[in-house]
Amino acid sequence: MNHEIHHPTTIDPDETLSLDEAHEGGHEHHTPLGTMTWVFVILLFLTALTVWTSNIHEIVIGHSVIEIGPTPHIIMAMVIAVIKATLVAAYFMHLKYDKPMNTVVVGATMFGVLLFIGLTLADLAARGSIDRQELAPIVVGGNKHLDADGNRVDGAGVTQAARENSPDAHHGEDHGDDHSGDDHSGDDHSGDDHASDDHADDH
Amino acid sequence: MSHHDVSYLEPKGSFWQTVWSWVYTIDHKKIGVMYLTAVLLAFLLGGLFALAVRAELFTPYQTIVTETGETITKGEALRFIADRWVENGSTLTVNNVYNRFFTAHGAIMVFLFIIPAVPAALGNFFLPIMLGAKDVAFPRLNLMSWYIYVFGSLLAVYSLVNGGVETGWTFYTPYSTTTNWGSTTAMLLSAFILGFSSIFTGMNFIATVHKLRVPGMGWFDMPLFVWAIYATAIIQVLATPVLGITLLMLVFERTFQIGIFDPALGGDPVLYQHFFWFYSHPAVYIMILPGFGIASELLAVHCHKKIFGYRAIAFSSIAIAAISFIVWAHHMFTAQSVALNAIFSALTFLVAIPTAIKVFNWIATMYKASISINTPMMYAMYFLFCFTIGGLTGPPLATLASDIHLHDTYFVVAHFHYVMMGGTVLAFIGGLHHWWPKMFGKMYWEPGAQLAGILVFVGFNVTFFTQFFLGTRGMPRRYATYIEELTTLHQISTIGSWILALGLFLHLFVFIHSLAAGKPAPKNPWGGLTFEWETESPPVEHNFPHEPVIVHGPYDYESVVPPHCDPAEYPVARPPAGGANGTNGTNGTNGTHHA
Amino acid sequence: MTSVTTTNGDAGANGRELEPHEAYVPGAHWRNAHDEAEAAKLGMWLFLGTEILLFSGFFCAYAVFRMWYPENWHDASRYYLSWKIGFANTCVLLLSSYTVVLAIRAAQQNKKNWILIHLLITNLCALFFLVVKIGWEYIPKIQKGELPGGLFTYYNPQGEFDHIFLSIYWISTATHGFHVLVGIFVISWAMWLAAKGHYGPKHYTSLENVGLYWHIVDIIWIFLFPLLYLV
Repeated sequence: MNHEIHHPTTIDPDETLSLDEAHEGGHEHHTPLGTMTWVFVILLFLTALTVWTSNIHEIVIGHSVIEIGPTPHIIMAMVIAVIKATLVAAYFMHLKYDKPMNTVVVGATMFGVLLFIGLTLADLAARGSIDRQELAPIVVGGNKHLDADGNRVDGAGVTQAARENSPDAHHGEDHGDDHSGDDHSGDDHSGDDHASDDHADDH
Repeated sequence: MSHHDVSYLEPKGSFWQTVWSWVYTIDHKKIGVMYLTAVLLAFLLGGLFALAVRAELFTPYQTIVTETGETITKGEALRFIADRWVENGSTLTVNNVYNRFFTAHGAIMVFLFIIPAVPAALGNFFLPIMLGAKDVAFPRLNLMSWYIYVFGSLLAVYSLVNGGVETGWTFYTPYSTTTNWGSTTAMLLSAFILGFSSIFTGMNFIATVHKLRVPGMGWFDMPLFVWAIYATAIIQVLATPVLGITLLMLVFERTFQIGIFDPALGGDPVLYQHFFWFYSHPAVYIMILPGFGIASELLAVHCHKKIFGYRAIAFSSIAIAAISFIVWAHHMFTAQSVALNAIFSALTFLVAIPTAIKVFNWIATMYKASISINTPMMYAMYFLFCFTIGGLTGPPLATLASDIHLHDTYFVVAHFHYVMMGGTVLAFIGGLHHWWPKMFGKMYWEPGAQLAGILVFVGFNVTFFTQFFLGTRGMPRRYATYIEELTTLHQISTIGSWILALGLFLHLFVFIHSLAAGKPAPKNPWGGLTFEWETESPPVEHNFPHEPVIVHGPYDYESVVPPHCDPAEYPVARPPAGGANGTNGTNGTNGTHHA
Repeated sequence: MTSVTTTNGDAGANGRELEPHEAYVPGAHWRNAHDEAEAAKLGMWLFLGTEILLFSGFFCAYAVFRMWYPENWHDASRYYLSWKIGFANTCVLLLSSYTVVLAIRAAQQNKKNWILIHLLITNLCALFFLVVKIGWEYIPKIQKGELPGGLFTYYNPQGEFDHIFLSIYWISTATHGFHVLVGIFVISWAMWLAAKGHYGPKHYTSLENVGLYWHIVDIIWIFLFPLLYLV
């Protein structure tokens, strides 16, 4: 087997007709049967393993019982899935034998995926952790018409405080709520007549 | 072989055979020309909507109660359209019409025009030629991407005819999940499909740059336009799929009520914004990076000087592509958590570094150069001027405190028009003039083009510089009316849009005139050194009569006489020691053009 | 200075009719077949990258709602989905990936019939996957009203956000199922080319690319299976 890259100009036309030795189509590596079969067996084993671990809800060591919550489960499942995917990519998809450029493409892609999921999660996890401490009544048309309790005198708008106290408002993470209310809470929008808080914010 | 000396524009037999040869072509040059035609049509369509938007803003609404008690509303330029536009049995308000118009302007300009404009039209035509290749890596995929583009564009036009979209080009939920059922879905699918076209173009270019460079051409022998298109292609491939899935989920949201972005069902609209901007911020660099590439070419060729800081410009393109993926949430400073605001604000400032590297290198290239003042060079300077303004108005928007005031105002509108139009579109027009003689084998009417360029530059600045003042005075974007105090500024802006339109129509006239009656173009009208100036004007079917050989860098103006040029006209400052290349200028394969 | 292309189509060399894969000539714009094959694979990997990023949207949505409703997520997964069906489908997809590898090996060894047999097994596995998915999951779910988001009509007082879980289940598995369906078509196309003798030790690039596509479909399922069925 020839693992070198053939340069076309060096190929003797007669040589390329010998079927066993020709790899000029860019295929320098024959698929090793034994390795691939082992990879397949390991993949099946890992699949069984991930099912088995997902059904363990407690570990008994001597007299102490350790409960396994959902988070260790998902971490375990993802670790196994990453191992499986790596095996498929490296062996079945030939990355191990290919030019490194293809691995670079996969690496860049995975980097993009991690950025996308990681930073999005970071934002949605951090929501409410800092800005909610500074809640101030915000109302369309400014807060100069508010009485001492933060309710609007003329009754035309609904204050942030009223919204917070209403029985159907989401508490805690506040994810179900429309975003525009609490996101501006740290900022002084009292003079803003345009109610642009709700407006699409892109630039 | 016959195709070695026949222009790619040469008709094939009868009229219908010629049409057929274009419809079925896998020649990257013909596909580039077809893309050029399509994007210019899209530019025209989007521009007409922009003029309508500016016309509506010429005066604010005024509702007057007369002495007889009658109520009259004045200043609604789009009223005559609104009165004729009946939907669900009743006429629309001017606000509805205005929303649809600015959405149409934005969506067409972004998805149909500016994203494919430079890569798919000029890039398709010149990237393989600049690499010394006969075609792009996957010619059939290239043709397919054009047909996908056409299909997606027709779907967008269908959406407009069918009622239009009111959400703005960003399709924010819940507007986009609740308004205009049929037409919004069509527009979403249209953008989804256009994304595939963009992905395929990007894949093609990456593979072409990796595998089809002429033997001996290293990465740092590539022209900077190729570097820019390569960086663009990386973003196209890595970012566009996320737009695809975002729009697909939005379509699912509308059809199956999956509720992932719908707060009423437990979903989250801010999640949509993350999804959308993960693509659409990098897309901003899909739009501007090719403009950078064109600027590098224009400045080097028309200054007849080695570009200053070649590697810095090349690497800064890649750096911009990389940074573009970690700054998306600066579009969401008023929507997301404070903690992430601080992080994304800091990351956003990183973009300034590679961008400034480019600008300084371009200015250094012009220093002490023998500059030819012609339309492409004037456009390169317009680009530098406008893009610098656009770039410098970015930091106030990246700063959290000032963004709270400027967010969603005309300041933002002016900022991104200075970058997109003042950057990409001006570079695109300049590049079009630069490469026009090569693409079509005809020179254009230089005085007319220069006059048109001046009109465009003046009109553009009058239109958009005014909007910085409007923005800082609190004029919010996407509103059909405004308070009376802002009338003067809005009127200046609208008049600017007319000057701009006049200039652009004059450009169109110059191009049509050139095609009909232009003088035949020489092989190398500007004295360029990259491969496209070695071949015929217009290029032959497989780009070169013989495969070119690389004997000098793309910008070695001090030591190489440009191919097909008179050495007296392009004196060589520093002939190389051997002297052989200095007089030949290029390879020995192209025949007898040497001085 | 003309470009160099290797031509293998010289039928007279050893006096017999050449198979299409032996007579393969690279496209006119390629300098040699090696470059063409490398570029085709690079292009395919770029496309696979876009597929991964496409599915990352589902994974991102999954992660966000899992973060907000972890207990509900766990219960919904156990309540609506049977790990046995998922496990069977995972094993079937892994087997089909393995047979694609064997088909490429058969091409390298110029065993045309074995290419066809392995691809046929792959396609049968893909069909099995879809039949199980539709027959044992989609149809019962539609009948019971376990539908996404606003269409959800199943009554389960425990799970407040079951409909979101099912939304993600439906859109991700349906998009994946669509990819399996496309896979069946492209594998059938590869079988057709194999039957015509297009694949052999000299040229099997499109078979490799079909294989790469099929493996990425498998990899996506490797992630979807534990996330949906096992959490």
